[in-house]
Formats: sequence, C-alpha cells, structure tokens
Amino acid sequence: MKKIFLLLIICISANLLISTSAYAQCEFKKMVKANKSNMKPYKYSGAAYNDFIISNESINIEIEFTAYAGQKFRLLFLYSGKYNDEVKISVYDRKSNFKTRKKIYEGGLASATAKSEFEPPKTGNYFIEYDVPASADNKGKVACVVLLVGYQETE
Amino acid sequence: MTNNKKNSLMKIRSLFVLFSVLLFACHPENKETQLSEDELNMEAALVEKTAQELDGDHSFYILPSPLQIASIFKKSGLAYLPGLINPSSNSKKYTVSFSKSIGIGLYSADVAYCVINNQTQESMNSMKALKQLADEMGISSVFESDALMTRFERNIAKEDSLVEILSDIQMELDVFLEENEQKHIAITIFSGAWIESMYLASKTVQSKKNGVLSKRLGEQYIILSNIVKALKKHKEEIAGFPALLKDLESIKQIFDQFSFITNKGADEEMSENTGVSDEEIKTLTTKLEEIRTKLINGTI
Repeated sequence: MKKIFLLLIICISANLLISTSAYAQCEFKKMVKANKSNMKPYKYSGAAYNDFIISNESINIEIEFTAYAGQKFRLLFLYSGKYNDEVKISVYDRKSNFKTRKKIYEGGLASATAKSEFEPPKTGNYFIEYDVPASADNKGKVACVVLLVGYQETE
Repeated sequence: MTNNKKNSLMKIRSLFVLFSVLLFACHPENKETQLSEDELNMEAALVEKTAQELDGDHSFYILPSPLQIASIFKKSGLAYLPGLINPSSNSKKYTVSFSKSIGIGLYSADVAYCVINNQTQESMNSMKALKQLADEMGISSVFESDALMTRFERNIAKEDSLVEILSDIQMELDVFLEENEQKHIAITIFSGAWIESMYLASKTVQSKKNGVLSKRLGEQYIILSNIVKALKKHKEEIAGFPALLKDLESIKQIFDQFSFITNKGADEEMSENTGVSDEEIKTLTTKLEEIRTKLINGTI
C-alpha cells in the first residue's frame, strides 16, 4: 500500500512538473544573463520580451526602437521554447504602412541566438518584425523571444 | 509455489500494471495532444496579455536608456554645469510610488550626466539617492546582482568602468520590471530620466551656443512622441499618468511649432535637419524647467 501511495505521489509530482514547465520556459532573466557577454563591446540600450503560444494560427509582431545617427547598433535575438519551426525576423527603416520602407536585415531564429548589426543613416524609429508560422502539428507550443539592443558610438 | 510466494508475485504484477498505466498518463507526449483545463486557461491568459500589449497598433516600443541619451548629448558637446542636477536631499520628498519612480528616473539621468563628465562626488551622491529610492520601491535586488553598487563605489574614478556598470544596472532593472510585470514603472522612470536629460542639455545650449547639440535636442521629438504613446496606452492604470501625460503633451505641442516639424514632408516624422533656433530653445527650456520643478519637488 505504501508503495502504491509513493508511486501516486511521484506521478502527481511529475505531472505537475510537466504542466508548469511548459509555461515557465520564458525565463527571461536566465536568457539575458546567459547572453550578456554576447553584447560586448556594445552597451545595453533596451530590450523587448515576447512570449507566445503558437498553435494553428501564425503570429506577426512588430517591435519599434529608436536608432540614432552617429551610433552603431547590435540586435541580439534570444530564443527559447518548444517550438521547432523558424521564427522569421526582418528589420525595416519604416513602419509597415509605408510602401517605400527598406529592409535592413532578414534572418531566421531557429536556435538559441541570432545577431544583426547596423549603422543607421539617420536618426529615426526602426521596426523589427517577427513572423511566427503556425505550429505544423497544430499543438499549442510556447516560444520565448528576447531582443537585446546594444549601441556603440561611431568614431 | 507457496501461497506466500504467489501473493508476492501477484503484488508485483499489480504494481507493474499500475506503474505502466500511471507512467503512460504522465508521459509528456500525451500532454501535448490535449491541453488540460488549467493549460487552456493559461493559454487564454497569455493570448489576452499579448492582445493587450499589441493594443490595436500591433507594436511594442523599446525605450532607450538614459545613459544612451546622455552619451549622444555628450558627443555633441554637452558640458557639465555645476548646480543643475537634482539635489540628492530631494529624495525625501518622494513619498508615493509614482514620485519615487520619477525620482529614480531623475537620478538615473543625473548619474549618467555626472559619470560622463567625470564628476565623481556628484555621481556618488546621485547614485545613493537612486539606490535609496530603489530600496523603498522594493527593487533593490537589481543592485545586489553582481554586486553592482559595490562595483560602482570601487570604480568611482574610472569613467569607462562606471559606464559599463550603469549599462548593467539598466539591463538588470529592465529584466526585473519585465519579470514582475511592472512595465508601467519602466515608463515612469524613463519619463523622469528623459525630462531631466532634456533639461540638462537645453540649459547647456542656452549657456553655450551649440548647433550640434541643439540638433540632437530636436531629434528627441521622436522619443517624446513614443513616451506620449506609451503613457496614453496605460493612462487608466496608473494614478500619476494623466498628469504626466498632460505635461509631456504640452512639451510636444511646443515641438510641433518648431520649423523642423512644420516643414517636414508628408511621409516624414520630422525633417532631417532638426536644428532648433535660439528662440525655440528658450521656449522649450522654459517649459522643461516648469515641469521639472514639479517633478523634483514630488508635486506632480
């Protein structure tokens, strides 16, 4: 009887662990700490933290930040989650409603990190888009993306 | 086989069957095929949170750091003028959460201003005031990480090291506020820092004519527009936001009269030449001073 009780406890604990871990994957602090050195020699400017559950619909997210002429920028994308497909990343010089906007960077985020560096020709708002395709197997999956923006003065 | 042995075997068999059933029920693959009610509720909450953050315009805005703004101004000729920064003794005036957050912002800008101008004693005084407010706000853990405060004190005479430490403090603060769902505090802190940075730079331009710095001041119109958007988004949630929003909008109205805004192209946020005339600087500085006086006295 004791063994059955012990077994039940183990199973319930395992169950709880599994259900909570699925939603506790966005440990932003850990993600940032682990990648802080990848920002060097750039200094920290700001960050965007996004967590989402991907199921049968694709997700499009736009992030805006101000870049100054006379500074160089490093964009560091950090990824964590159960989602296996690639998150498409694009960086533009204008908002999506401008037909004349130019794409500065395009890349994919399928593993832990992706990096982009650029020097803005003029001061202004720049736009980053995440295109997250629907989950292939239609099952809800958690994805966590952190964007760290670093700057450096140009000579 | 004895009865005892038979019983033992039966028990082992029963346990094996039970274990197999439970193990199957616990298997992660099984979790993925069907989300439990709790998980569905959490998913709904997450979707709702995402929708709220997107708030119609489907965008997030990353606030720059006060150090970054100070760095831009410094490169353009920002000079140190004694007696301009918010006295550390004012920290006692900030009695509620909102004014404490504003105070952290004011001192953040002051620390950055003093550090990049090698004002060691003033840097330390402003940092202590900032730390005291952070303690009162329950966010002192930001400084405990990597012993940031100790590192700041030890490196007080080394500008490069201090800049690194300030950069780390900002990163720690941002991640703390994000993890604790206190983004509104980040907006409040940044609003205070932005007004203080603008005040310090406009005072420098007024005392020493500097075309490059006045152009950099003009560029800040973009940041101001973004702060106003952020405050509008959250104005119902925080008691101090409506008053702060009103003040920042009054600064924006002044900017809107500047020639680089009135002469901008239809598809531009502002014209490329953001030069600001002496008269425009005077109007802007007067408004900044008026609002800053309220902020440093904790009366907003």
